[in-house]
Amino acid sequence: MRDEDQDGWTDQPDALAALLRAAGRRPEPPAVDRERVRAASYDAWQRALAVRRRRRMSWGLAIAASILGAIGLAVWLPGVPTASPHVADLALALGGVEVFDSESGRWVPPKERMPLPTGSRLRTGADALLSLQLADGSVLRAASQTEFVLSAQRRIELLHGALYVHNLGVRHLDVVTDLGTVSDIGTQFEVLLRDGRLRTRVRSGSVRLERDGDVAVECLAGEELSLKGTNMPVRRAFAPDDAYWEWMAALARPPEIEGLPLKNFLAWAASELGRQLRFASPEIEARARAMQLHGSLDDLTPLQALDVVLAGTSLSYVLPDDGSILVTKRGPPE
Amino acid sequence: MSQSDFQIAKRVLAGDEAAFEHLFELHFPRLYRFALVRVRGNQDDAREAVQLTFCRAFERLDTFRGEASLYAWMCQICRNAIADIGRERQRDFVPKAAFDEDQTIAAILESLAAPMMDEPETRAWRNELAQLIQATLDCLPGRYGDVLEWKYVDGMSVKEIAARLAVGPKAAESQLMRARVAFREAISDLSGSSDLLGATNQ
Repeated sequence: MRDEDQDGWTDQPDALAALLRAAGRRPEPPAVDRERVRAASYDAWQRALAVRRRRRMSWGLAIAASILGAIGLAVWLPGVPTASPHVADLALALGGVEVFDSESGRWVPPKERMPLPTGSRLRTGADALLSLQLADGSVLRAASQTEFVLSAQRRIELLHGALYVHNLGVRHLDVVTDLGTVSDIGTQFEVLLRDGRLRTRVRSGSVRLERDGDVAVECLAGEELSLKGTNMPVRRAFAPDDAYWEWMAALARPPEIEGLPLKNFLAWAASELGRQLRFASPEIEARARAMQLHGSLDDLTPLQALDVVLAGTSLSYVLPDDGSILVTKRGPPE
Repeated sequence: MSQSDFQIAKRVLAGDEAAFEHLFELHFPRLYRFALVRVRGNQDDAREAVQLTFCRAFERLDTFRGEASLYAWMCQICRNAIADIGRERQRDFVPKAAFDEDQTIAAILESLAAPMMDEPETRAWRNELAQLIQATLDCLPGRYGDVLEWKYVDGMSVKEIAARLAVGPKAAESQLMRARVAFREAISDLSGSSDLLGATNQ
């Protein structure tokens, strides 16, 4: 007996085929897991590339230093830090921001780009905003009238106010409050604690809200979960591109763009704006991937940076109602 | 068309997006299945283990020398990730014996020849067998596992497989042949028997 298909490929009814048929199809992982792991992996890859770029720059500095040494100049170059005992660096403070100085027991203004060790306690006044970069590259932003403690490497205690987290690390990041703990993996979310009410809004990925003696509740991208006291959490939709998120976009600063592919910059802008990056055609995507940026972008919001960068290219963008950034070719449609 | 794992790793390290996509799409489903059987079917744990695996792999990719396959290298990272998650969450992730004991594997394969009986024990054996075969397909190089599944499980023609691989029918046929050889060798290695699948093969 022979089994012949239309191409002429002939199989004997062998054990190999029988074995494979008996085993059946391999199960496909859930699509939502694929997307979440892919997003986190992409971020990790980009971070690894950035580290390599920095390492190459350090090599350049080292070579320059040895040349200077050879011609007899006494040159001091700051060493590249190896171990990082602190948990975060202050990236940007707008308005009245204070850090608690445990030696003097007083609240003092923070120094520019100051390192923050475990146990650091910070607060923002009315109309003040604060952005920190955590040791793994993740972003923590505090709204006005917020007070919190960096209690461990991946644990933040929110005393009151609102924190926005863009977790770029590979592990959970916990925001602990009196009313419960919000944990995530690789997501963008906000936790607000005010007047005895806990609320979390998720921009991408998902978070888990845990309370003592209660089952964990999951909150997905585009959702808000709020609760008061021991009441059941209330869930409602909250768009990732809602104008509400503008408070923390004011703290976003563009990445170093020298040598960065345009597509990576666009991915950053989309992430900051809570939008999904789309391209009008595969050719435009390929062009964005191939194009390398030069120069620097200082003190620009994500939308301003997007305008400045794309002005120097043949590409443009639109912000459609579907929550995406659509990158197109400049000028009238072909 | 097909590139070595080392070349793919070099392209990923150079920032090549297409290489990143290739690496992720090829290895994500396999690593997910690898993790899932080791975390007792808990999808959350499997997802986190695979996420940790990819993140750690990208951080250390410059240490990959191509001596083992990229999949084998990532499986080792995945084992460590599972152990870390187990410790952190106080879970008891015991390795499945069926994948680690050659004698059991041989017995599972030989049971194919035994008459079919619809008993709980038989069904359990068949489930073990299915998992073993699927894990073996995942361990094959490149797209060999996919090619065999398309052909023998999905019943695709060589032309259809060629279209999926974006190659000509001759190249697809050649890949199918090589996939059969690789699969037969992998199963023989596992079972410790050289003739389990050999009798009627081309």
